[in-house]
Amino acid sequence: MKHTFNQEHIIGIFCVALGGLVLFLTRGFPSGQGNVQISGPAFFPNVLSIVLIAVGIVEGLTGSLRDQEGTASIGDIWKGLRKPEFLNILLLAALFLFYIFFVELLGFIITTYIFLFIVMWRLGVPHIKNILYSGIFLVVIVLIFGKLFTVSLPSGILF
Amino acid sequence: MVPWILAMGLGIFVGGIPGLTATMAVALIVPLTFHMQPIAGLAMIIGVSFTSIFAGDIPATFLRVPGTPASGAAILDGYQMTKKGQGSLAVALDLICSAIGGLIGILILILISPALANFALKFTHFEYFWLGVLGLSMSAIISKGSRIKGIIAMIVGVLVSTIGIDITTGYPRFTFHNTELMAGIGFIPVMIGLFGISEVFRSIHLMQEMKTSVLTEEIKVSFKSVAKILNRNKRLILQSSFVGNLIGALPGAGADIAAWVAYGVAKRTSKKPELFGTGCEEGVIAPTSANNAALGGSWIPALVFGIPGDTITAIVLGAMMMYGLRPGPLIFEGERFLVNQIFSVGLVSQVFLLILGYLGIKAYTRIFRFPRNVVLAGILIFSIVGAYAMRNSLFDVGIVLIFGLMGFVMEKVDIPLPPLILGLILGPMIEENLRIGLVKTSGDFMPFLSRPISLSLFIILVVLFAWEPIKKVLSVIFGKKP
Repeated sequence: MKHTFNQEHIIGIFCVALGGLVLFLTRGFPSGQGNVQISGPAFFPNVLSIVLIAVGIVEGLTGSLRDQEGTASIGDIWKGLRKPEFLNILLLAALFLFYIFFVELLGFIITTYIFLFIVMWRLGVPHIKNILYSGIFLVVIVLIFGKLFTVSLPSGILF
Repeated sequence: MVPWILAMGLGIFVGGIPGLTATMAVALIVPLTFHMQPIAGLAMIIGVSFTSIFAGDIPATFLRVPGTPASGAAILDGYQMTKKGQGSLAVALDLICSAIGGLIGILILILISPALANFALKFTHFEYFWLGVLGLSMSAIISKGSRIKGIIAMIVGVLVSTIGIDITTGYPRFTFHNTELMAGIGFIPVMIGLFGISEVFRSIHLMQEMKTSVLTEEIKVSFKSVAKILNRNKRLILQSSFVGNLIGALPGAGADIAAWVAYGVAKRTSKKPELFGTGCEEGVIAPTSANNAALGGSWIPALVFGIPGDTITAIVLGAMMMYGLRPGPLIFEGERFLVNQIFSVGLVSQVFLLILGYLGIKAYTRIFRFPRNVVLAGILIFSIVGAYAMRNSLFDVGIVLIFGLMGFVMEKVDIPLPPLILGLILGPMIEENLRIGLVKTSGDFMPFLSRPISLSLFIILVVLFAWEPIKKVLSVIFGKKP
C-alpha cells in the first residue's frame, strides 16, 4: 500500500503541537493551595493537552494505517487553496480586518457601508442595487440595534 | 393582554436576529414592566422567553446561523432539511414541538416542581462534574463520521474555555497580558463564527447560485403530514421534553445544553441513528422540544428556592423582587394565586406562540427570498454587529472571523463542529466542579463515585458507551443479527 502524507497526519501533528504548546505555556502557572497541583490553574489544561496529544497520535496513526481512498492528500488540499475562489475567502477575511481596525477611525456608518458595498460587489450584486441594499442594511441596523433596542454600535471619530 | 402579545411578537423579532439572544429579549422587556401589575409584567417576560427561543431556530434552519445559543443543536438537521427543500416542514415541526415542549415543561412545573427542585438541590460538585461529562459525551454521539475527530474538536472546545481568568484561583490563563482575553472567549461569537460565517465562507468559496434565493421552496406545509410525523414521534417529543425540563431545572444548565443533550439522547435511542445530521425529522424534533421545555424547568428552582435555573430566570428573579415578590418556598403559600396565574400564563403562552410563530416564519421567509448574495451580506453585517453588541467589543468581531475560518477549515477536513461548541459550553462547568470537588476531598476521587446520584450518573455514562458492544455480544449469544 502506498502511503502519502494526508490530512489525518496534519490533524495529528496539529493536536500534538497544540497539546505541546499548552504544556509549555502552563509551566509558569502557580501551584494550587498548599502546593496541591490539582487545585492549581494548570491542572485542567494539562490533563486536556495530554489527552489531546494522545488522540493526535492515534489520529496520525489512523492516517498511516487507513486505506488512502477517500482521504485528501496534501496535494489535493494545496490544489484547492490555489483555486481563484480561495481569493474570495482571503478578501472576506481582509474585509473583516478592515472593519475591525477602521471602524473606530472612520465610524460605524462609513465603515459598514464600505464593507457591505465591497462584499456585495464581490458577490455580483449589480451596482445600483448594491448602493441601495447597502444603504437599507445600514438604516435597518441603526434603527433596530441603535434606536429601538439602544444596543451600542461601534463608534468612531467621524460618525 | 395586548402588551403580552406585543412582547411575544418582540421575542420573535429579537430571537431571529443572530447576536440578539433570548436573554437580551427578556432584559429589554423587563424595564417596560416595572409600572405594571406583577402578573402582567411576568406574562410579558414569560411570553418573550418562549417566542425568542423558538425564533432563534428560524435562521438556524434556513441560514445555518443560530438566532440564540439554544438554537445551536437545531442547526444540525434543520439546515440539512432546508438543503433538501424541506425547510418549511422543519420550521413547522420546530414551531409545534416548541409549543408542545413548552406545554410539557409548564405541566411538569405545575405537577412536580417541589419534588424536582429538591432533587436538583441534591446536586453537589461531584454530581455536576458527572453531569458535565455526560453532556460532553454527547459530542461523541452527535458527531458524524470519525469519532476521533469529534473528540479532538471537543478537547479543543474545552481548551478554548480555559482561556481567561481562572475562577478558582484568579490567575489569568493564556491571556498574554491581553485585557480582552481576561474575560474569556464568549460562546456566542464562537457559535456565530463556526456555523454562520463559515457557511458564508463556504458559499463564497463555491460562488454558486449567488443570484438565486436562499429559500426557493414554497412555504406550504400540509397539516396532515405534520400531524403524521408528530404522531409517529410521540415518544421522542415526550422524552426530549422531559430531558430538556430536567436539564433546565439544574441551576446553571440552560436551554442550550438541554437541546444538545436531548439531541444526543434522541440519536442514541433512535432506530436509525445514522440518519441524524442528514436532515431527519427526529433531529429537528428533539432539540426544539427540549429547548422550550427547559424554560419551564428553569422556573422550578427559581420559584421554589429563589435560585436561577439560567440567565433568563436570573433576570426574572430580579424583576420579581422589584415587584415586591419573594421567590422561594413561601411564595406557594403567601402568593398561591399569583403562582397559579404564572402557570396559566405559561400554558396560554404556548397558544400565542403557535400563532405568532407562524406569522414570524412568514415574515422571515419573505426576507430569505432575497437573492443569496444579498442575504449573505446581511448575515455578515448582522453577525458582526450582533457579536459586537454582546460585550461592546471589536475583539469579539475578531473571534467571529477566527472561528469562521476555523469552521470552514474544520469542515473541509471532516472535523465536526458541534463538539467544539459543546466543549466550550460545558468546559467551565466540568473544570470548576472537578477542581472544587478534588480540593474538598484533598485529591481523593472516590467521593465522585461513592455518592448515589454521582454513581448513577457514572453508570449511565458507562452504559451509554458500552451499550453498543453489549448489544452486539447479546445478539451473538442469542443468535440475532446485530
